[in-house]
Parts: sequence; C-alpha cells; structure tokens
Amino acid sequence: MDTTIAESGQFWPWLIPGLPLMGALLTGAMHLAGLRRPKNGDKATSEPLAASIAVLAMAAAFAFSIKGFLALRGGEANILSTRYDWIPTGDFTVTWSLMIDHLSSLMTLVVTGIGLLIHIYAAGYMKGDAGYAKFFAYLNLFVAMMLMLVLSDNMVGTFVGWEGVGLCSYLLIGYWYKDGWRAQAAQKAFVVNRIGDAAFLLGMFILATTLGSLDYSSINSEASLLAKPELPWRLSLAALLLFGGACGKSAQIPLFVWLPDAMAGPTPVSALIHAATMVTSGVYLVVRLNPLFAAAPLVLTLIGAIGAATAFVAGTSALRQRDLKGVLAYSTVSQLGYMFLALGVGAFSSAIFHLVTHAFFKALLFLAAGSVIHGMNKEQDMHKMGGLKAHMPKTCLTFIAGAAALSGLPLMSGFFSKDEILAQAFAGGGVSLILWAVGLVTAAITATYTWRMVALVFFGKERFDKQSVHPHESGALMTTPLFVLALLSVAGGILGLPIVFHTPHILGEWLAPVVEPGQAILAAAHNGHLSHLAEWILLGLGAMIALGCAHLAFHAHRQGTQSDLAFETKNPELALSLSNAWGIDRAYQVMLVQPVMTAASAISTLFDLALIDGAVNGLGRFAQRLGERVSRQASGHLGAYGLTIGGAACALAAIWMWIGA
Amino acid sequence: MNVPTEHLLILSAILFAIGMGGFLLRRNMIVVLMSIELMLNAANLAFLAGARQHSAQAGHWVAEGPVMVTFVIAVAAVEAAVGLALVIAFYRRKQTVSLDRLSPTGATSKAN
Amino acid sequence: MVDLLFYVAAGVSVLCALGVVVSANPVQSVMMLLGSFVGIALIYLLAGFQFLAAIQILVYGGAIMVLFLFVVMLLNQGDPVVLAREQGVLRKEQLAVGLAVAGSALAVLLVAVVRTDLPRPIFGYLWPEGGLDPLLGMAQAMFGPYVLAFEGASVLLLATAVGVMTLAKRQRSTPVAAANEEVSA
Repeated sequence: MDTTIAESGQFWPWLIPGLPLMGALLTGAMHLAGLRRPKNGDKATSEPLAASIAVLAMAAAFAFSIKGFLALRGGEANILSTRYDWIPTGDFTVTWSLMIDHLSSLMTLVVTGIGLLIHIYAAGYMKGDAGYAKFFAYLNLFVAMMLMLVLSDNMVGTFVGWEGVGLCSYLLIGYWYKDGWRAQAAQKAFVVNRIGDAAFLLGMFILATTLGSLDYSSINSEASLLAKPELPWRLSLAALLLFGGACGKSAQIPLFVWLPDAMAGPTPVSALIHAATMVTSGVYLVVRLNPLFAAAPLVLTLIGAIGAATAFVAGTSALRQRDLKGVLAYSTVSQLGYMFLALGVGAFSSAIFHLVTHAFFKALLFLAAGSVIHGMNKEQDMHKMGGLKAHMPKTCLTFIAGAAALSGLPLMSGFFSKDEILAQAFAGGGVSLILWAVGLVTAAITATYTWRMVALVFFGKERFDKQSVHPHESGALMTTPLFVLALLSVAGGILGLPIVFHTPHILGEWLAPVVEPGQAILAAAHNGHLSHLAEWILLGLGAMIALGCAHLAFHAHRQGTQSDLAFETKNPELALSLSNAWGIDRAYQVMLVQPVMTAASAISTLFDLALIDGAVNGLGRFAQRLGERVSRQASGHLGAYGLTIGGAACALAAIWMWIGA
Repeated sequence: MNVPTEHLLILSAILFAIGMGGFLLRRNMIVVLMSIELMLNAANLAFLAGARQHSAQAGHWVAEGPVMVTFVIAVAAVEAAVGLALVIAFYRRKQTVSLDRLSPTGATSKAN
Repeated sequence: MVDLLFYVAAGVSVLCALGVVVSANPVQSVMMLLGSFVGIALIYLLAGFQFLAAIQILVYGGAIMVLFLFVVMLLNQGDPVVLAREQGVLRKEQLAVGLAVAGSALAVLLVAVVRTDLPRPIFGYLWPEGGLDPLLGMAQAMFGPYVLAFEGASVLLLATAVGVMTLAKRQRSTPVAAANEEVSA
C-alpha cells in the first residue's frame, strides 16, 4: 500500500485546523488536570494561561490562513495538503486531505479571523467562570472542526467537520448545563441537527454510489459533465438531500427551530458559532457543490423559496422579541434565509459576499450585545434596559455600526451585499421576482427590528432597577474586538461594490474560479442582466426603504416600551404568535415531539421490556443450561482435548477446501 | 536443487502428521513435547518451501519466509524451555511424567 | 544428483520422526529427533537457506536437544525400571482414534498440496548469491518492518527465563524435598 502519498502535497495546510486542535487538547488537559479557578475565590492563576494558549493557537491558524490566501493571490494553483489514506477499499478510497482554493481560503480567513477576535473577547467575557479552560477547549475544538469542514477536499472530511461542529455547538449551548433549560436547548439543537445530518449522509451515499467518488473536484466535474437535460434523477435527489443537511445546520425552514434556543450558550459562542461561522456551513456546502445544484434547477428553485420564506418568517418573529439575543437569533435565521435566496437564484458569489459581511456585523452585534448583558448583570430583556448610551459609549457606538450594517443603511457592508442579492433576484425574472419582492419586504422588516432594538437598548429612559444594576463599560479586552469588527462591518462593502460604481467586484472576481462551473450550467436558463439605470433604481429603492424603516422604528421606540405594549394590547394573538416564530415550534412540539415521546414510552414497555429483555434473559438462561451440559465434556483429559483440536482442525480444513472448489 | 515445491510440502505434511500422531498417542510428556517440536519443524519447512517458490517466481529473495521461520525457532525454544520446566515441576509433585496423571481424575492409567 | 540428496535427507528425517514417536525409550526418542532435525537442516541447505540451516543445527540440534536430553537424564527416563513404571497401556480405541485423526490430517494436507497448482519457475529454483536468506537482508528485515515482532520475541525470551526459573525452583513443600530431608535427617 504505497498509495498514501499519491500527489506531493504540502504539510503546512494541516496546521490550520491542527493548531486549534492542539490548543483544544492543551486547554482540555489543563481543565482535566484541575487547573481551574480555586474555590476560595482567589485570583485564578490558570486563566491567563488557558486564554493565551487558545488565542495563540487561533492567531497562528490565522497566520497560516493568510499564508494560503497570499499564495493563491500570487497566482498559485489550489494548494493541496499531504494526503493520508483513511478508508482504502478497492477502487474507492477516502483520504484525509485538505485543499486551499479560493473559496476555502476565504472561509478560513473568516473563521480564523473572526474566531481570533471572539477568542480575545471571550478571554474577557468568561473571566471568573468555573470552567474557563474547558470553555476555550471547546471553542478551539470548534474552530478546528470548522476549518476541517471548509478545508477538506472531499465530502467525508467535510462531514467529519460537520459533525464535529455540531458536537461543539451542543457542548457550548449546554455549557452552563446546570440550568436545565440550557441543557434542553443543547439537546434540541443536537437532535434537530441530526435530522439534517441524516439527510446529508444519505445524499453523500447517493453521490458515492452514483459517481464513485466523494472528492469535490471529481463530483463537480462529473456534475458538469452530466449537466444535460438527461441529468440522472439520483443527482437531483442527492442535491435535495444535501440541501436538507444544509437546512439543519443553517437553520432554514423547517429545521430552524433550534437556533433561537441555541442562544442559551454564552454570548461569544452565539457570535462565533450561531452567527458567524457554523450556521453558514450550509451556504458553504451549496457553493462548494455549485455545479451539482446548478444542474438540478428544481432543487435550486426550492432553495430560493425556502430561503425567502425563512427570511420573512424569521424577520417578522424578530420584530416582537423582548430578549436582546432573541432578536439577534431570529435576525440570523432571517439573514441566512437571504443567503439561501441568493443561492436559489444562482448568485453563488453574492451568497458568499453576504455570508462574509453578515459574519462581520452579526458577530459584532452579538459581541456588543454580550457586552451589554455583561454590563447589566446578565439581564437580557430589552424592556428592562434603555438609556445605556451614557453608560457604555463604546459598546453603543459599535452596536450602532453593526445595526447600520445589518439594516442595510447606505454604504454600509450589509447594504451592498443585500442589494446585490436583491438585484440578482430581480434580474432573474419570472419566479425570481417573487423572491425579490419577499426579499425587499424582509429588508424593510430587518431595518425595523434592528432600530427598534437599538432604540430600546441604548436610548430612551433607563428602565432598569438602579439599585441592583449598575451598567458599566466592558474592559479593553472586550471592546477592542468590537472596534475591529465595527470597522469591518462599516467598510466591508468594499469587497463587492456594484457594477454601477465602475469599480472591480473584488469578491466576485476572487470567487470566479469556484463558481464558474455552476454559472456556466445556469447560463442557458439565466441570462438576465440589469441595465445600469435599473440597478441605480434598485440601489436607491433599497436605501430608501432601509432609511425610512430605520427612522420610523427608531422614533417609535426611543420613547420606551409604549409602542410595543400598544401593539400587544391591540392584537394580542398576533403578537404572541409572532414572538413564537408563528407557532412553528409549538406545532412541532404537539405534532412531532409528543407523539414520538408517547410512542417511545409504549415501545419501551412493550418491545424493550417484554421482547428484548425477555429474549436477553432467555438467552442468558439458555447459555447457563448449555454451559452446565457442556462443562461435563471438559473432563481434563489432555488426550481428549488434543483429539478434539486435531479432528476439528482437519474437519475445518476439509470443509474449507471443499467450499473453495 | 531443483525439487518441485510440492515435494517439500508433502514432506512437511508427512512430518506434521507424524508429530500429530505422537502428540495424540504418546503418554510421556517429554515425548509429547518432542512431537510438538516436530510439528513446528514441519511448519517451518512449509514456510520455507513457500518462500523458495515465491523467490523463484519473483526473481529475488523474499524476506517474509525466513524471518517467520526465525521467529518460530525462537518461540519453539521458549516453548521447549517452559514445557520442560513444567515437566520438572510436575515430576517433583507426582514422581512421574505420564500425562495420565495430569488428568484431574488421575486414575486413567490404572483404569486401563 | 543434488535432487537425490534431497530425497535421501527427506527419507532420513521421516524415518527418524517415526522413530521419535514409536521408540519406547525417551533417550532414543531424543536421538531420533536430533537425526530428524539434521535431515531437515540439510534440506534447508539444499533449498538455499544457508543461514537457517546453520540456525537449525545450532538452536535445535545444539540447544533444544541438549535441553531435552538433560531433562530426560535428570528424570531418570533412560532407566528401564522407571520406564516400566511409566509405561501406560494404550487402549485399542484410543490408538484407532488417534491414528485416524493424524491420518486425516495427513490426507487433508496432501490433498491441499496436490490440488494447489503451483507454477514452475522458468529458470528453476535458483537462488541469488548469499542464499535465500542473506544475512544483511535478514538483518534489515528484522530491524526494519519486523522490529516490533523482534522486540516482542526479546521480551518473550526474557519472560521465559524468569518464568522457567520460578517453575523449576525446588520448593520446600514438594514430596521429593520432604523425602530428601527425611533421608538426610
């Protein structure tokens, strides 16, 4: 077996996921070795050590990501890592191997870059927590798995990362597992994700049996080859199932219910996993396999429809949340819906553009929200905030920057990425126009809930109990990442300025080699190009809607909670169902969870206790009786043993030869 | 020597069968141990016959056969040493080396 | 000519092996076993395994056989009186079953050999210079891919040395020791 080193790859790409993994092992060992915060409340000596290990690992991974990015920018072809055989079976071999191409390089930059900032922030945020080292072990492990997910050059490696991030997500949502509801939220996330993962796995099986390989390069080229009208239905099915997996991980209808609950985790976790990186892996997967999806237009349409529906439903739910993190959670679901909407109209690089800007501003918003919660003694109810501008000016400033980007105020990063998606949908014509309309409405909703949130938290009267809560600005460890992210959120739009600005679309050109095959397949069906005038009009429309809604929402809510309460008294039922995501979660509870629980308990009594236990006990009794009988044969006569062994060996050899003939 | 491999294997088979017969039929522990040595030697012969065939087909020497035989010889030495030590210990206790006395009943030979 | 030598050596080793099993006196058995080993060593030599032939003589013929002989002598197995006492009688059924199993083993092996279709090498069974077990190559194999097995064998030998010493150590409570003490007293 000298096939291990098939191509001469380089080793250093392994360091990108490897270093955070090592960090995870080290900090995990620190936790297990009991270097925790001493019980008597002394200054924990191990905290700086654990944090610096984790942050250094992230910084090193970021440095290597930059190395890969620069190498690609220097015109180098895709960088392949050393390959290690994992499952060699005849002519189907699964390898451990990484590939840095234009897409994965971008993703590693986002994951390690934002991850680094969030690690630094978490070093301050988690100060004094009993499981400080454990937290960083999980966080580093998550980053390692996420990097494995985006870097692997085959689907199996991606699946390893996919499951790994799911596990870390579970561990981190339930990080404060002593609160029962947090543990339950973790479990919910895990189970719902599992449904998607099963679909992913099935899709992978279909691809493996149909195409005989799970390498992205060969899947994509095969799919390009098969991109004819007679595309085998199995590939469409595979695409559908893989989208099911993406739905689970990226919290799309019908599998989005776990994400709002996932806010039970510490806020840096919400920022890193449930906003910036992990939840976007579904988008990554679709873009990674863009020729496959492009060759299945029906699936693509479905993706667009589901994306639009999710964006709208989640956006409306965000309108009526009182929990600060709840607004951000639904907003994340809604923005992910935007990305899928973009995928659905074949605008793969626009989806990635929005992914990147969303990672910037949503991470910022979460971190700033964390800073607020931190300063407010873990208070998350926006109705009990207000007027925090005076108490935490830095947080307020950066939060507003993030809010501006999220709501798509002109010239902010979110403005350009959202507008690009809408323009692409508009250009698609036909069904895409419906998607465009939904997207536009959602944009208005987004601006509304965002500025409602800003007004409720930072402006108006101080509604908290001044006796028990003393809001204060967070330390430099936490505010520095906020400023970096704020800068990125404001200026991130440079990556993809619209054509009408007559400047290069940096991100689009960068991703061109990756999305080229898919675009080529779609080119036949999808050739809408907007005139400059139309594009100007769309830009202006987007800007006007964002500004108008932001203005209205801000002024309606800066006085305090009156307008919220007024709405609730006027339409109590609507308010309730909106705040519960249109009751979808409750419907699942009634329609799925309870029947399953009932069935499970029935099965446990009937099947498990009676049949299985009965069979096992019966087998045990049988073996016992048989043993009693057989033990009489074990007389201790060596000759008898020898004869038995020899005779049996002869008989077996004879049988084997007979069958062999 | 140009003897076909089959002949070597047949010799190995005969030696193995003889060793097995001795192992099954003799009562004297020392002879039983010797029979085991005989069987091990037959196995060695088969290994080397295979190695020779393999080498002749490959056109160069093949390491696996001779290396395996070396290990078998080492293990055979170990087995002889342990076996004989056990025989000595057994003899001290029972004043005999007959296998019949090893049986828990210890009375087979008398029953005969 | 050389081939004939093989058949002679083969015949000798088979006859000696039969002698091992048949002869009533263990001393005779040991001598026969030695003859059988020498015959096999000769066959190794003829087949091109020069190093292994030497090892066969040194380890089997030298060390292991001497060990057997020592034990046979130590336990007085050459003494006719002892022999007569040790001689167990083999029942007819036992003999028949034992022969049947050994015979069927032989049959199975022979059938397997005959049915296996081995290609005759084009250039005959020649061996490269240095034999089929060149010392350098053996050493490279032993300390290369098989180094774990080699180290395992070392550990096994060490454990054996310790274990044999423990087993063979004279214990105070054994009947022989007790008898000896009585005699000396």
